[in-house]
Amino acid sequence: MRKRMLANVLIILLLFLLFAVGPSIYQNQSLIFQMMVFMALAQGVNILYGFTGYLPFGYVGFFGIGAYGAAIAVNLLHVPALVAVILGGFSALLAGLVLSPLLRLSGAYFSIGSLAASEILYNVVSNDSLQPITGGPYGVNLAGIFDEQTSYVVMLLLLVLATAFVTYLRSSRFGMSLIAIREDPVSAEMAGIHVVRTRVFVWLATAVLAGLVGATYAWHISVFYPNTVFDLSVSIFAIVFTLFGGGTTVLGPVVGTILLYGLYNAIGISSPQYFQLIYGVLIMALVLFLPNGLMSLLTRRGIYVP
Amino acid sequence: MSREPLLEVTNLVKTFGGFRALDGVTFTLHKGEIMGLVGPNGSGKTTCINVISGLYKPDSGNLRFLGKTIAGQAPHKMARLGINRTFQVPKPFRELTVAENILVVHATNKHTEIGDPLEFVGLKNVAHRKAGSLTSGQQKLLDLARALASGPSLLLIDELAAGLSPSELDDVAEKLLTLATRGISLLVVEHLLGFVNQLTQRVIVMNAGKEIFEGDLASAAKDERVVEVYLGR
Amino acid sequence: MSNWKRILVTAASATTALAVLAGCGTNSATSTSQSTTSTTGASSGNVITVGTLYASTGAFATSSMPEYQGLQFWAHEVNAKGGVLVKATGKKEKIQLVSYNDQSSASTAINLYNQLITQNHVNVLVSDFGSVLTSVAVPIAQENKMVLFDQTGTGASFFTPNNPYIVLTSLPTSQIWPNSLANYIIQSGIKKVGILYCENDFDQSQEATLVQKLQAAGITPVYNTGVPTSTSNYSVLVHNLAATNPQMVVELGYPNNDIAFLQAVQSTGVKFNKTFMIFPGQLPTMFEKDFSKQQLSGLYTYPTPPYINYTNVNYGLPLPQFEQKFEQFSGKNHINFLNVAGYTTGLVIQKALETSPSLSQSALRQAVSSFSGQMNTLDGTFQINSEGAQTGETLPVGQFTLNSSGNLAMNILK
Repeated sequence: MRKRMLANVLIILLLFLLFAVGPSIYQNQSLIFQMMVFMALAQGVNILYGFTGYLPFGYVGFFGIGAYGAAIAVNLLHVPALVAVILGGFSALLAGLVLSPLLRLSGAYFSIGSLAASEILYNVVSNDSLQPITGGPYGVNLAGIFDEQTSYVVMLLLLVLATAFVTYLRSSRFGMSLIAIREDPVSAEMAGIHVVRTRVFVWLATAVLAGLVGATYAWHISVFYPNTVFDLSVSIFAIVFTLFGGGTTVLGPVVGTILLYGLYNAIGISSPQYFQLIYGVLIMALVLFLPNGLMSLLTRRGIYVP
Repeated sequence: MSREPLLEVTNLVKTFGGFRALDGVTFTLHKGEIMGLVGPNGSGKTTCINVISGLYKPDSGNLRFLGKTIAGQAPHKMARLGINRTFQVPKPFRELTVAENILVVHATNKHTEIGDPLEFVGLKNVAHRKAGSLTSGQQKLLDLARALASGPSLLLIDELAAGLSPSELDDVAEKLLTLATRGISLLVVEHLLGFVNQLTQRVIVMNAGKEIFEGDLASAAKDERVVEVYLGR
Repeated sequence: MSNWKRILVTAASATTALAVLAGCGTNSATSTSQSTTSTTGASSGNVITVGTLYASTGAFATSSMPEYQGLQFWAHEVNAKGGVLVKATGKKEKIQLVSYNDQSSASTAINLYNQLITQNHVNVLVSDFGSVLTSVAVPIAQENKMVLFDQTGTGASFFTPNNPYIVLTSLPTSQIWPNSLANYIIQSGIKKVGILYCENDFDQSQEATLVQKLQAAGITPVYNTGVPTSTSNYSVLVHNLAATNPQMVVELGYPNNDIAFLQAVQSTGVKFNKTFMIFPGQLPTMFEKDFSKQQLSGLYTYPTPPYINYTNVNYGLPLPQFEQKFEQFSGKNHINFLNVAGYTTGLVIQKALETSPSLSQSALRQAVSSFSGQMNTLDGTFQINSEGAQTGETLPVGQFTLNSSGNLAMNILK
């Protein structure tokens, strides 16, 4: 147990160093920033799917609400950037509360239900009649609070927090109870676990995470349209990165994001015409041959992966 | 063995659609008692267990545990009150190890008389194996250990004997008897009357959602209504 | 793993490997339709690097690629003469285009604009087509203190008093486009106008200006509705419009919307006296693919080069020569406005390099201001205000007609 704790702390430390030092090595800071965004979202998906068994195709809904919550806070309430980020997280919490009945669905029904929910959020936010509040379809401009450096640091902290939380789940009884709920809610109930309350807590926690990440993203890019922050591909990427790396571990989403998002940019920058082919083949191979992700290559041999 | 009532079931009714699975079941289980719940297929035995353990809400009737009404409480509350159960088809948390399966259980009532649940059921040597990799017999024992881990004062056993070899049966019977001596009351739903006989003399026979006989096994075998229900006329 | 699975794995891996290799192979080739990348941007070598993005797929591809080709043509022309005579170095320097494919995605574009600046260290930064793909470049350019040569991103919000790092090269800001249209409506005595616009910056800003100018002249639109930009079925909207009996219908959208709108008009059989749409004047060949000449004849639109032939050109190729040389370069038998827009951007860059005493971004920006109002290209008079917004190159109103040989011609209305 002691060794595992050490391994977990080491991972978090290395991750922190990697992204803190990264921009000095590779100057395209926005690319590294976006990698952090996807890694944090992947950990959110990991918590919700890898641990609790809900696959959120609509995860981007909370990301977008967070971005718009922050935008409204800045443009209408004139609060400073950090407060706006927190308000973005809070907006996602509210959205999560409103949408928590989705948790009654399971499996594919939940996935489709959550997708529908995020589309509803997108259409509400981008509606012309809400233009005075959200900018409607005309987009948002947050140039007033633009601060590349600070938003980068905040994103790094969010990533560390998300990773630390997953680390906690990986080694705690609470994390085990999530897996228990995923495996068999009835037995979990008989084990004294309050299934509904636990699920809602995880749901809201991951919603807040996505909201904070979305708000920080908005802060960083400062100009965006509704379909930028409600883009389905954000959910898909987060899900694919987690599944590719392997859910229920800390390293899975980390490795998955670095490899796949790195590959995405490498191909996209050098030969975008083959991008869809390569990415598609990779995902097909993953689903067919490695449904439990890269980390399962180790775990199925009994090697513990943090 | 005191005569203090532990579980009082009064006129429990449970319908599914038009089907009356429980039709006014009434019986009382006392502290430290082992009671058998027998009856032909479809008589409502498992439904009864499901209602008592909180999986179903009864449509009407009363359920009292240590004098407190508990009808309709959620399962996790029942578990924390001290009622737990095994399942007909064992449902271990397959991805967790055997030890972790025990670890997740909320132990609100510490019944230290039985000590380590894994040791008690004899699965200590496989504690680090994934629960999904156990044999079905081992999974039944894990189910039992998990139920014990919450420190229950009432344990509902649902068809534990099915599929066990004679030596395994003896082993399990011994363990259950030990539980009773340590103060845990048992309600044992069972098909195998021979297994029931090893545990207790007191049985309730159910048919069509109602109890039709309450008394000792020997008398049950001679009772008209019981014979009719099991063998036909 | 069964044998069948093994074969599948091998096939999948082989395909992936081949695709990656093929991709890497094409990467190092230089051709007119592939991206040309360099790992280091040379600022003191014999090359001036111009960085830009293009969209080969997605919603903006049909406009972005011709615009990119226009820029490529400019670079080709300049290099054929030995390069641009750069005042800062006193030498002729060749132009090297460094470009990436953003696939019409604004979020991809963010990374790629940053790549151009932070990794490729380009000397000159040029935006992709249109307001959406330009919008994300504006804060990036400003943050990195690089002048954004904005080709066709006409959103008025891009141009603010405190930001010198942007210049709109090839079109005026969308806000002022409707000046000519409003004048035409007022002078023609049209009283009942129906407006249908798409809910995006480009179209809504035009609607706002049009309505404001009409109302100042005492004309209130009988119909004025905004619809999502993604609208593809205009049948119901056409009926609603017709019910208000407008004398002129103004449809403000992107090319897809224009086409969909016209299709709805044709299929519902509704007849409008006068119909105005933005893009037929810019992309006539695109419209001729879906509609007959008879169907297009009578349409009002903003004509652009090549429908307009400016004769007072004092910099770069005039229209007839551009047409001939560009068709030779591209292998196409026609040009459209986006080709002209890309070429004009190149001309602005060229003149800036020829007149600026240094290659610093602020010097380049000042150079552009210095020749504002004095440069007449085949795109019109290049004139920017203090915020970098284009106030020249204004668009008149024109109407499609059929000439004596039965072909589509443009009648430019005064």
